[in-house]
Amino acid sequence: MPCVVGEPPTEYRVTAPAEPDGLVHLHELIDRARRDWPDVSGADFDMLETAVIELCGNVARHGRPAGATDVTLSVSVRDSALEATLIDAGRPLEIDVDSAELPPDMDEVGRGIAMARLAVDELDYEHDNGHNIWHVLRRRR
Amino acid sequence: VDSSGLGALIGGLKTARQADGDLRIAAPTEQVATVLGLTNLDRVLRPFATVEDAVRGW
Repeated sequence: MPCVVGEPPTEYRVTAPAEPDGLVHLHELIDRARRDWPDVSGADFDMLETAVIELCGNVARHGRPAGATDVTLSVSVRDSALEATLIDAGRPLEIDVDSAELPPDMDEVGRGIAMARLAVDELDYEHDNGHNIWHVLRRRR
Repeated sequence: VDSSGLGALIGGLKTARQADGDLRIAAPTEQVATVLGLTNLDRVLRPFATVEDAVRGW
């Protein structure tokens, strides 16, 4: 009888508290996808993870009330790209992703959104039906 | 490393420079090196391949 090896999943999802300790669950999810897909560049996963953690960190730091909402991360592994969607039920964010710029080099804060934008190819934010929704896409190199 | 970590490194660099010292990055992982480049912080926190390289000429 032939040994059939299943294809790894292409969709991953986890829900975790939107607080610093919850970030570990998002790291674990992306690590699992990284292990399942060894042919995908580690750098692509690194940059998707960098963006996702910045966005979730932003929710954890600035969401109100802090830690009172969950964040759901979905990751899709496509032939051409890695995609992530991050959803939380926090208050709407007053943010203009496209105008987020890096602060002066010696500033200690204010890099998060600009860094997320630089790490990936597409980054979009919307507030819909009481939820903050981030779409992240990193084209595979 | 995330933006909070970068902020902590910049804070450490400022403290070190105020004391006539320096803060240098040795043997960064690929993610750290990429993030330093993305944020242009490799201009002020120049990464070195090894600790020996980082402390050379200190």
